[in-house]
Amino acid sequence: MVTLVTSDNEKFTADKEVAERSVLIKNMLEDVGESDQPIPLPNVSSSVLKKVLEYCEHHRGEPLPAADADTTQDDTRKRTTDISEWDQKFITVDQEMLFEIILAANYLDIKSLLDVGCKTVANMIKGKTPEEIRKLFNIVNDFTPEEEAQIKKENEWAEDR
Amino acid sequence: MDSKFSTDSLEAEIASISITYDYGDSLSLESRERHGWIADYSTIYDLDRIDPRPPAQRIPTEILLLIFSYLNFSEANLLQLSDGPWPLTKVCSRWREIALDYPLLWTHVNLDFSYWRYILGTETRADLILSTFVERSKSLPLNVQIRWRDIEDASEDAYKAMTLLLSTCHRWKKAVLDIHSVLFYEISPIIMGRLLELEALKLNLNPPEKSFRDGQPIIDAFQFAPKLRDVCIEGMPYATRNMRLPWSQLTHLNAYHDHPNPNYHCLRLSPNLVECYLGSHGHLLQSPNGPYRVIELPRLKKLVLGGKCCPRSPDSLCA
Repeated sequence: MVTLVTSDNEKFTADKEVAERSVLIKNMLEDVGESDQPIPLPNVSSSVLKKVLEYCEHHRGEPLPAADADTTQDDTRKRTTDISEWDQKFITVDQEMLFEIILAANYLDIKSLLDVGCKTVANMIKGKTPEEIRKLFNIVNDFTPEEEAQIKKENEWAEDR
Repeated sequence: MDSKFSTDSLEAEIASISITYDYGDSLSLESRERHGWIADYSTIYDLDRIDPRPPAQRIPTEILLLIFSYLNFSEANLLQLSDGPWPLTKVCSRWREIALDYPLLWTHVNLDFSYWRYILGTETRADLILSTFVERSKSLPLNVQIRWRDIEDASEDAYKAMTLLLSTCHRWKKAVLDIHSVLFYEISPIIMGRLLELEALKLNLNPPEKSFRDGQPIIDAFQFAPKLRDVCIEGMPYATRNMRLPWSQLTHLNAYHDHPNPNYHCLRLSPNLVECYLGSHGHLLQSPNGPYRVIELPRLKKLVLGGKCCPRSPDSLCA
């Protein structure tokens, strides 16, 4: 078993096999060797770690994705936003938690969870206007006057007449 | 991790260093360095704790890129600025900077002039829009779709856009061309021999029926494409007679039309086919001159024939 300590000082114990779905934890355990020492996770709160461990427990035993090159630059990868039924149910959380899970998955290096989170956000963005996206994610329109002018110019490239 | 504790202990350590060794240049330097660490650490810690930005704004650029990479713009019409990557560039300054600088978002170039003319009823600066895509996609391979059947009264901007798009043909990885038959001959001298990256090609030809057999000059624009493996031809029942393709390279072929000739000659020229679909309105097993000659396709895994004697189902015939 592995003990994990969250940013709010809560301790969680998990099977090594489950905790090692996180490449970060796997590497830490390999570096430290056999030890009972708890692993501090200062960037993950207890509520988020609980969700992350639930995900890792469900996907226990599945093959880990190969550590590959930067996928954001790979245009040959089949880009599907399909999410399995269980994952979809799992990731149906409020927006704050969704982004916290994404940040935690990134920090803990759990690629499959990061993908589920990012696909979910991509699905939320699909088909929306800039105004709808701003409203959805509470983003402030902070364009400079120069950017506004450029956007206005671009809009005229295909304007209804 | 208790950051306040860590900060306090470092402060105490600095105080100790300062009192005991305030005369030592090297240790004073160490003291100053540690003050710097504390400042940095405190800033990071405080920002992390009290960051007032909404979560979508806090996520790092690499994660935003990953999210954007899952947005599929393969069918987005380039001329519709409410579609494709454009909305991402109009959300906020940060998203705009990231989206404009992310080449992958700009690799699907779908130039659909039929949409422009008949549905939207607008005029466009297709040339400017297209040049943005070409520039933003940097040197990545392009997936190109051109729909331009009605070329009458086309604007100068449309021709400029087409010329610009053709000048990128050395970057085309997939191409769908649903264009007026005359254009196939016009583009030939521009693109022939330059399709070095092309892997998949879909052609919608549909020339006038009387010209099926011999009435048209040969389309030779695609005969040199060393990576081409996957071809789909719609509306050309005498494909081997009317066009030159690197048939022997092909592993995937899909050819269909509303004419009786089943296009079997394609198979004779394509011994490396792995998957093939042929669809016609003719009798598939017997020609007017009797049974067809045997065709050998040693690598074939799947063959689907659609026509009078077979239902047009993908699993109707497999070999």
